[in-house]
Order: sequence, then C-alpha cells, then structure tokens
Amino acid sequence: MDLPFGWEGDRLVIRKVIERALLPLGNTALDLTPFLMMAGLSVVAALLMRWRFPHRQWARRLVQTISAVALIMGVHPCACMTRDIILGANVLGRDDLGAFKYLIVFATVAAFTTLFGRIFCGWLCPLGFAQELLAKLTAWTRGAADRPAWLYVRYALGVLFLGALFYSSYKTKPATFSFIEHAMVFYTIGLLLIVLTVLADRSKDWFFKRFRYAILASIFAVFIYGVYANGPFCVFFTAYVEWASLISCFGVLLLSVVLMNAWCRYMCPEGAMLGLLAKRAAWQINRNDARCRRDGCCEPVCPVDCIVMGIRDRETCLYCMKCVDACPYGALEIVNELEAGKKQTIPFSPRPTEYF
Amino acid sequence: MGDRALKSQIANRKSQVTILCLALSVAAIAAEVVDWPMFGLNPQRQGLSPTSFPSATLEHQWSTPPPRTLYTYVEGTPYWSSPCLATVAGQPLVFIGCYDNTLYAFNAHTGAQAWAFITGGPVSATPVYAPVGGQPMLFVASSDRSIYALDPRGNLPDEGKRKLWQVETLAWRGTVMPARMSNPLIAAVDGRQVLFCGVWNNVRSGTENVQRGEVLALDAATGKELWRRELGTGAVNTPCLGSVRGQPALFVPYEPGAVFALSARDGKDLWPRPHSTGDELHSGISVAQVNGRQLLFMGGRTAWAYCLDAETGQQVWASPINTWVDSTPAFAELDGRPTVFLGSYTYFIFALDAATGKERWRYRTRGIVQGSPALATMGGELVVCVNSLDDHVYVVAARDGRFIFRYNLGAFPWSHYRKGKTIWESCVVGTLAGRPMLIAPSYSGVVHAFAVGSRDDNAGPPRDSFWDALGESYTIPVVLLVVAVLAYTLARLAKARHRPAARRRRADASPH
Repeated sequence: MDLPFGWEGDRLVIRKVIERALLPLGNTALDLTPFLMMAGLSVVAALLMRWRFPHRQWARRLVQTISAVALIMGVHPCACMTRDIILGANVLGRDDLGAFKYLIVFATVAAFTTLFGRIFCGWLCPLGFAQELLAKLTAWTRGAADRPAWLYVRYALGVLFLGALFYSSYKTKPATFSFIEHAMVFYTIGLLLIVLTVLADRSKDWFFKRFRYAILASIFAVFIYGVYANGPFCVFFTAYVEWASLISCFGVLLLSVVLMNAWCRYMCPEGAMLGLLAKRAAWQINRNDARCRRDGCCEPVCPVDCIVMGIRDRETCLYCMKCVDACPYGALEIVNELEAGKKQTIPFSPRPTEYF
Repeated sequence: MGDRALKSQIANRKSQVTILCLALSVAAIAAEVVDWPMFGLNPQRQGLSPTSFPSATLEHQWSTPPPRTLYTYVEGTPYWSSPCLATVAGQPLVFIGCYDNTLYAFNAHTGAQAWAFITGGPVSATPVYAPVGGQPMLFVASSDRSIYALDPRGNLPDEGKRKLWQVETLAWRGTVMPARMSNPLIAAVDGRQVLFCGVWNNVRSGTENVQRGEVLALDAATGKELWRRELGTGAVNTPCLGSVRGQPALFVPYEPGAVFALSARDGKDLWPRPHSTGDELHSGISVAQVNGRQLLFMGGRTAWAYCLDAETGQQVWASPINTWVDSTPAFAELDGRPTVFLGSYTYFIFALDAATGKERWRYRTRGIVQGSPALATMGGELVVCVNSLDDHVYVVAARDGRFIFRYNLGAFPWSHYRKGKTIWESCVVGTLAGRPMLIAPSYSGVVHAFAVGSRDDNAGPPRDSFWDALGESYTIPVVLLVVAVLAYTLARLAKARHRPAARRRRADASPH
C-alpha cells in the first residue's frame, strides 16, 4: 500500500524575512541580532513589570507579539535552549564560535531570569503566547466544560485526539535512525494524558507540575547520550517544519484550550530550567500584609494556577503580572530581594515557599 | 563598445581559456586513469562520469566484510570516506578511507584487499589519485593532521616504501584533537601539479587553544608547502577549482557561513569580500560554465540551494529546497539545458535548472540524501546514482527522475547518530579495466560493487505498508504504555465520577 504523502513536510516552510546575519561575527553567519533582540525585549519587559500602570497586560501582549514576530520571522538561528546547552558545552574549546552560537540565547535568558524571574516565559516565549492567546479566545468553552456532563465529552475528545496523534505520527512516519529525534510527539501524548488526569482530579495539578523536572532530566539524558530531540517550539524557530514538531505544536495548542498553558505547567523543559533559576531570582512578587484582604482575587487569574490558598509557587510563576494587576488593593508588588536585604536561605522544600 | 565592456569581454575570454586549459589538464590526467580519481570526479566537482553501462540490469558483484567492529559512533566521522577509483598498472583498484584509521585498496573486480595503509586517525576525506611526473600517486588526508602521498601500486615488493612523503599540518602535542580534512583536489597550476586541501586543526587546551581552519597548497611531487591561507576558526569544507578574471581560483566553503575565492597561485583573495551565506555551509561547491558564465553551485543550512557568479561572488539565484542541503551538487547538460543535481534532508533528490534555479523534477527516497550524486550513462540514458540514509543506493533517470534501481546496502551499526554532524558516504561510478562499475560504500561497514550482469538485483521502488510502519517504528511499546495510563485514568474517573474542583474545596476550607 502506497501512502498518500500529501502532507510532505518540505511543502511547509517558514520564510525568514532576514536570511543573512545583520550583525555578523567575522566571516561567518553567526549573528548578534538575536542576542541583542532578546536582551532588549527583556529590559523592556522588566521596566514594564516594575512600572505599575493600568494597561500593563496590553503592553505585555505587545511585547509578546513583537517577540513572536521577531523570533519567527525575523531572525534565522534556532533558539532551542535545552539542546543548545549540551551542544555548546560539547564544542567549547574546539569550536568557540559554535559554542557561542549555541549558548548565547540561553546565557541571555538565564541572566535575565536570575535577575527578573521567568521574564522569558511570561513576556517573550512565542509558544506561551500562542497558548495564552488560544486559551483566551476559547475561554467560553472552559466555562461550559466545567459542567460534569461535559467531562465524558472531554474524554471522548481526548481519545479522539490521541488517535489523531498516532495516526498523524504514523502518516509522517519519523524515519530517523532513532525515534528519539522525533520524541516530542510522545511528550505531547504524555501531556494529553496528564491533562486528562488533572481534569479528573485537580489535586494532581501540583504533582504533575513537578513532572517537568523528570522531563528535563530525560531530555538531558537523551542529549548527553548523543541524540537530538526536537520540541513543539521548533516550528517557530527553524527555517523548515519538522512533522513531529508540527504535530506536537498542534497538540499543545489544542490542549491549551482545555487547560490554560498546559505545556508550560507540566512539560516545558526550558521552563523547568528557568524555574530553578527563578526560585532565587532577585525580583520576586511579594505581598504587602497590610493591604491584603485575603479574598483570593489573585488566584483565578493565574494562567498556570501557581497561586493556591495564597501561596505562590516561585518555580511555576511566569511573571505575567496578572495577579498584581488583578489585586484591587495593590497588595502585590515586585520586590528586589537583593536590594531590600530580604534574601533568605530557603531550605529545599517540594512545597511552595512563599505566602501572599 | 566602451572600454569597460571590452575589458569585461577580454576577462571573460581569459576566464574561458583558463577553464579550457584546466579542463584539458584534467582530461590529460583522466585520459590515463579514466575512473573516479577524486571527490566529485574532477577539480570542478561536477560528478559527471563518462562511464557507460550497456543496460540498467545491475548485478551485485561483491561486498567487503566490515574491516572490524566499531562500537562507538563518533560525531563527524563516517564509516567510510567516499571512494576513489583508478586503474593502476593494469590493476583496477578502489581506494577508500575508513573510520578504523586505515586506507584500504580493494581489487575492483573481486573485492579482495590489495593493500592497506594505517594512518594515525580516521580517514574521512576521499583520496586523490593522479600520476605525477610519470609516477602514480595517491594522496590521503587523514584526521591525524597529516597528508600522505602513497605509491598506489598493488604489487609493491616492500610495503615500507609505500609512503612517498608525509606533511604534518600541525605538530603533535598532548592536547591535540583530531583534525577535519576536506576532500583534497589536484590540478595543474602554472605547469605544476598542486594538491589543495582544507584543514581544520584544533588544540583543546586552556593555555594554548588552537582553532584554525586553513587551506594548504602542496607541491604534489614533493609535498613542499607552496602556500597556506588561514580562513578563520571554523572548519573548511570541500573546495573546487575554477577561475576568476583569468587566473585559476579555488572556491572554498567555510563552514561557519562563507565562501572564499582564493588564487590557486598564492592563496590571496580574489573577491573584494567573501560571500556570506545565511547559515552554516556543510556542502561542497561545484563549478560549471553556463551560458558563457562561470557559476558556483552549493547548498547550505538555510533551506535553499544557491548559485553564485564565480567572477564576483554575487548570488545569481536561490532555489527553495526547504531544508538543509549537505550534498555537493553534480552538473550535466541535459538536452542542451544545464542541470544541477543534489540531495537534501527532505529525502528528495532534486534536479534544478542551472541557469535559473527552477526545479525540473524531484524524486523522494525514504531517507535523508546527504551523499553527492554521481552521474553516468546507463542503457543509453543519463542517470543519477546516490546514497540515501534509508540504507539504499538509488539510481534514477536524470531526465525526469524516473526510478531505475535500488539496493539495500545494510543498516546503520550504531543506535543513533547526530543529525547533520556527519557527512556520510557517497557512491561513485567508473570504468575499471574496461568494466563499468558502481561502487557504493555503506555506513553498515560494507562496500558494495555493482556491474551489468545477467541477474537483476533491483529491490524495486520503495513502498510503505502499514505493517512496515508498525513494525519498524516505536508504535507498539508506546501504544501499550498509553493504553495502561488511559485505563488507569478511566478507572479513577469511574471511581470519582463527579467530584467538586479541588481548588474550590480548599478555598472553602481556607481561612480567608
């Protein structure tokens, strides 16, 4: 039986507006533009975080749009951070240009995360932006679907979606020497199962949020073993579309309709890395006890449900500032813990560590 | 006619004359050895062999057993180099470098090993054969940082005299890393046979860190260094030879993303500045005369195939391939239309119009086509022979991409490889002692040889059945896992039926 290869991956391609390095290093295609762009957008985002004004969420959307357009259309290098850390470390001292290329994006994002928290996730990440946008557009479906009768419909849809994922992965038939290259399809299937479990029992949300570290460890193990793995965000960054990445991206976006920012919550390995850095970041969102009325108005607005019973989970918080903007009493604010001398040694605890 | 136009015409004529001279000098070499003396057949890397197979009924002739078991995949190191074919003192030989640090010479008719030469590192670059001053010589660039000149004859009484000279491109020290050598080429420049080779040397040390990509020109007869030109810290890939403003020019792909035009006489730049590509450049370059204009063809990691004007380095056209191209393009005139053939990571073999870049046809294999195509005549029509990473060698018609032949060369011996980091073997064609042959090395560790015979070993065009897909792939264990998790989830769901959202319950219990 010949397969009707109507969906050939090479037919889809993201045309980059800029195909040559704007600020090349020597006689190479290595470009400083992505680094400067990320740094510039991070600084803008940090300023907007600190400055309290009524339309901050619109400003955030604008920064996200600029970042998405610039990363998708404007610059050509891939910005896969997890993969690039291993690759960059591998070639340090052998090919410093290559190491620079691989490490510069992560170094920039990590530096800003250490200072300002997960500013990349909340303000710059195109996948996060796409999930958020889709979730916002389909907010009405979640209200309706919360009714118990819809639970079965949701499961039926989940099973259908699972079938669709398998069918599409069969159709595209990743034909590499090792399937791990296209493993993101399976991570997406895993995400679907997690989402279904969490919808059945919301108390599992916290447990599966820690699942990101397992994903991060597994991906690192895969890379160190010597195999590449792609991600759902590859479709945004690369010049051509890999099917596994496209299918994963489609799956992640669809799941974000059911559960907001599902990928960011349970799977994102980059988010897990940045979460570890953000835990001790200089800028933290703290609560002013004198102003807080304890009415829980900050909880439902969080896109990743990182505030539970007045407790903010530092590792999961995206620094989107929605909770700060939602508080009518101005009880939440960004505090520079280094400056205020409030930096405390927090013993490792799997539980959220900061009380609003 | 203005002065400028006149000068331009003269320069053009000069360039044509130089190309003709170069072609004649190559033809002079080729007349003696025919065969496939270097990567891409000639210094222009055009890959068009005069070999003519009487029919397309190819029979498997012989295959060599893997020289030894190699347990580890090393990034950047293929199992075999691409082969070099030559008839030396009446003996048809296949010269091929190997991952196990050895250069092998096999008898092309029987597959028996004629001799072997051990170097200090894996030999990934295609050897070059040429008679120099009446002496047949084989040049080998090994990742032990050395270029060797060997006596290629099969019946040397004293193996100790096989090595004629050795040039070490970087002195050994404790922290030295394996070098990356490009496929060398040999050409006559100002009446002297000169060997050109790109070298990337690395000393990985905190105190003395060397990362140097350079091009070397050596006197082929003596190994004396004529010039050496450093391009930067990145690797240098397969160069080709053409001409710029009437003087012989070496076009060198620099892996971090540039093309250099260097004078073959002294290594000086011939373009005002190197041509900057959009991304890394792993493919080699080929050069050909199209409509009186000398053009360079190459791929890259930007999802395009490019054509540059050899005189200026300006882009003439770019054709969307939509993925990486690491295959060095081959060139042929088809029905008076210049055509470029190349493989890509989308599994396709492409034929592009060399003048405009417009696609003429594409043929889909079932794996990445990283090998460089070899062109020959088979049953009276021009065919494209190429290795694909779906384990097969393919032969398709050059006119329309029609499937002709396929053979399974063997599976990958390692559990994985790093996509894009290793340029795997290419097949070659040649007439060895009067017998047209297709030699296809494979990453399975075996070198295969095909010739026209009574038995047809054609595996037929590729087909994908449902059971193939299921059996080959990962699906079964994943399906089992998913079914288990789904069953668990559904069981929990049946138990819980409808329970209020945990958060609301906790919120009710909270002290707010």
